[in-house]
Amino acid sequence: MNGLPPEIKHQLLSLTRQEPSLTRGRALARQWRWLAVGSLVLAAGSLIRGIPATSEDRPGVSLAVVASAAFALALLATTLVLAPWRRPRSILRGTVLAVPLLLLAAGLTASSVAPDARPMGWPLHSMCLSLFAVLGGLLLAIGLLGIRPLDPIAPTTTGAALGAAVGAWVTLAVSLQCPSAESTHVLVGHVTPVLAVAAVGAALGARTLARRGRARP
Amino acid sequence: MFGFAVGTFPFSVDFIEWRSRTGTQRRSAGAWRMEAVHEGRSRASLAMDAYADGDDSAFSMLYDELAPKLYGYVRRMTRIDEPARDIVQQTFMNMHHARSRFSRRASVEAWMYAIARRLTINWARAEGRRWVPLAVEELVSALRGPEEEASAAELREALFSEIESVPEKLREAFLLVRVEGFSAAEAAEVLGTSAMAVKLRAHRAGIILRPAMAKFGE
Repeated sequence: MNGLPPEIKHQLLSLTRQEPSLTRGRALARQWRWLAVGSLVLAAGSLIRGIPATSEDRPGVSLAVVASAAFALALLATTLVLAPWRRPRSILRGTVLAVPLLLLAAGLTASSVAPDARPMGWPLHSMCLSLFAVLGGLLLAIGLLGIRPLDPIAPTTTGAALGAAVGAWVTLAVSLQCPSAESTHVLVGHVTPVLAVAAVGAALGARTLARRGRARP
Repeated sequence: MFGFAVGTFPFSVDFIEWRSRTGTQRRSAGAWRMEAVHEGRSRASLAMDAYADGDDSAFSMLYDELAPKLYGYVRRMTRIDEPARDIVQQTFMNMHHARSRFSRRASVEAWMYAIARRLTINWARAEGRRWVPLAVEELVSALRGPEEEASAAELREALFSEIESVPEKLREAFLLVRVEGFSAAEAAEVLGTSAMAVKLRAHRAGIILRPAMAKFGE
């Protein structure tokens, strides 16, 4: 077994000069800038269709339950993904599983408070799903390409957890605007898309969050 | 949250970088340059902290401290020099690109090994190779020591078939703890699991391999 030739060190030092990377301070500043942009996008997305008045289909209590659960889960998931703490990767895997499950629980709880909510069908499902697609796509792009929490060890898991966090934020925005708390609609239009965003996050995270590739000679 | 983000970000870059750089300097006062261990952390970990905060001169020292051991670990898994050197280079480049994500007070050795492990697994899959995280020679050395070289060859024969029967997860934990010398907590960081799981896996691997060794010893 031969050792490492000395030219490898020289190549590495040369490459690090050619490909500068962010220090902690600059990465944190970049993160806050993109979080500000994401906040603007989310705020705009939350008001795009206006917030309907409460009704039998969506009582105020239902809205409060879903909105507060979505906000709390989104904040927690975002913190777990972005903060560079020492944490087992099982925490991120748990986030991917827990966020949609807890959103489902909150949604079903909200539905139970609106027993007279009418089934809305695919027109409303489509409206919420399209809002999820647009807002989720924008926020996921901000997370993966703007904030870009690099993870050379488990980029797929980090991407999925980021997707789950984005899904929770979009659930908050959609819930504010959705006129129905009916259980089937919650499942189809509010919870299932979170799984889809997490899956897209995982697929894209594998490509964007891992700086792998051959070191050039 | 939005107002806070917008209000503070113009000041963030210089302030945060100044704070983190001077904080590191105050805390370690160049300790990574001089001391082998400081505040319970290795010199390499302190150097990685300094590098993550912007001290680019620390990278050279990181390489000198960590590259030989890393190469040994990767070479044991790849069995071939060329891809092992490539993976070592890629590992250091990954550490360079992701330096802002290195947690304060973490172990750079565990982080580095976790990155290298992932790169090696990807290489093995791309090459269509079966990834074997434990070499017989290293196991023999770890279990018997250099003073029993004469019996090492026979032990190697006896253990080879037993090693094949040890599940990969158990072999990995055993390798990191018994051969590479990591603590259970550090090995857990490398493998992405808990320290308790690492201890159990290493213990179970030892139990599986013990009968072969006992048989040889008789």
